[in-house]
Amino acid sequence: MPLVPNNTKRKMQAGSVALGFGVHHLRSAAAPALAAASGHDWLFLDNEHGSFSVNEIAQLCIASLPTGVTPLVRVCSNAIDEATRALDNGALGIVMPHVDTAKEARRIAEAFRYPPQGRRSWGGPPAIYGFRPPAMAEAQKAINDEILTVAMIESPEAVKNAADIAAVDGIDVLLIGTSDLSSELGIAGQMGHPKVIDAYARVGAACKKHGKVLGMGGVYDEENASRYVGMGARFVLTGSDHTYILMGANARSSFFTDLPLAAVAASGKKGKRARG
Amino acid sequence: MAIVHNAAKRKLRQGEIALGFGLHHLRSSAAPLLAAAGQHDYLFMDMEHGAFTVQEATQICIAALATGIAPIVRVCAGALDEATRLLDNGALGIVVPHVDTAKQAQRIADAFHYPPAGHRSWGGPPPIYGYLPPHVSEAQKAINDEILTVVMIESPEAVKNADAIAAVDGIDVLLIGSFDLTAELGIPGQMGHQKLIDAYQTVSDASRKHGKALGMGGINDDENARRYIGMGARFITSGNDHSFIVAGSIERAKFYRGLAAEAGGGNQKDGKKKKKG
Repeated sequence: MPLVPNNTKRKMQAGSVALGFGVHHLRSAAAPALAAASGHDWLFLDNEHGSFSVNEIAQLCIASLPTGVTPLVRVCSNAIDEATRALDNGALGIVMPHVDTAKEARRIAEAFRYPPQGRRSWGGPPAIYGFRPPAMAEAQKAINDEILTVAMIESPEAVKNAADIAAVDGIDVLLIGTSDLSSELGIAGQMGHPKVIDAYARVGAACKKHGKVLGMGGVYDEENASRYVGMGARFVLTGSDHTYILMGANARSSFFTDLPLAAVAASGKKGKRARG
Repeated sequence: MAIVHNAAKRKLRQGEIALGFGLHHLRSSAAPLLAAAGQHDYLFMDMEHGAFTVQEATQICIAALATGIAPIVRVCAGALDEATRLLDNGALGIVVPHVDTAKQAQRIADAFHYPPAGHRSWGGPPPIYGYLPPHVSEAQKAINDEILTVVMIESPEAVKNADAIAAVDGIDVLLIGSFDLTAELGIPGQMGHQKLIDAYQTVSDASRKHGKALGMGGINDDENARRYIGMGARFITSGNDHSFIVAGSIERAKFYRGLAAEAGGGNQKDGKKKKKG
């Protein structure tokens, strides 16, 4: 079987924005179909802050592969052992948080790619070839090219080192973790603060220089999101099942609660119900 | 421990709206917290059309009990064996679809209530008492009063029999399944059709006469929801995790794609692609 294409990587290589659908609560094979139904390109399975087992991650990744939605997994900082098992079982890319130096970035690029570029171990027929890969040499080379490796920039040190990190071969995206970065900068949650804008400018310039993609995480309001997308962010996380559910559920509860009640027998109470 | 109150039943008794948060995809103990954050009163776990096991449904029921969100489960028509196991393991109410006759309603009421009201079997200390119930006679009486029994009216026959169904002791809510009912009436999906309005009127009158609550299912637009709530509908499932996720995520995707198009990072195909929901 041919390698499952990483549509997210290809889209970004063409200069288009690729949207991520965050998964925190769902454990259903329906997740990629829901992401596709709502116009997203990649699943962001968050095992830095979610409570997935490696097996649950693998089930979602494998379900995602035939749908065209790219399964990407964020692991905990340094949990490279979980990352390679996710890659062996269907993930088309890894998001590594809290990457502060080029040395850390090289360690990641090496762990996620087969020789000669790296030192990833061959785990047998991989899911992204439908478990029917061609000869190993060909498969390893193709997989090295297809996976997406994302390093998160979340500290002043990482911003300072952005050009060196972007220069590392095998790093595809520098994703700014804007929430944590603003905390580290002492301006927690101020997504439009000049220090954040400056960080986006620096990391954006580093990406441009080295042909890498700029990513944006944690920016959800129009003013700031339009600024950073305008500055070049193309790997964009739109939210997660948590935020989507609450957006939808609150809209529906407001809708039904605001409709006028009839005078019903019972105790004759009319008007709006008390909020639950 | 005191019995866990059924927030949905208590609101209905006050004539207030009880709003349900439907579950199809989620299998997480976070579901009741999401329902609370989304300002709902009960969970509507759908085992008629969802793929829950009894075990999965009861885990969510037990997690819900401590939150004040009433866990209510819809089983398949006739799956009373699943329903009683759900009640034994945390559900505060059951929705039985496709109830067409008073005889079927009596069978349901009988299965869900302990003697003398019915013939439900005692399964040992129940979670709705935190597994520390009082004496069995007191517990059985209190549980009989606390659970919510909902029958769905989804056929012309059921509408015709609404008065006899509403008269059955132990049935709390007559919930109109508007999708299936319109299909059975030969007007599928026409939620404002006169035949459906007539059905709501008939079932509303029957519910009111017998002191039961009217429920509305499958009505999501302003015009029709307004009409049927105005006619007395109070037990309302507002949507489910599926519709919430799709609505929320489409809104977010449109937002960011719009920004990207302005910034020149759009994709020619996006315009077509994002239309489909």
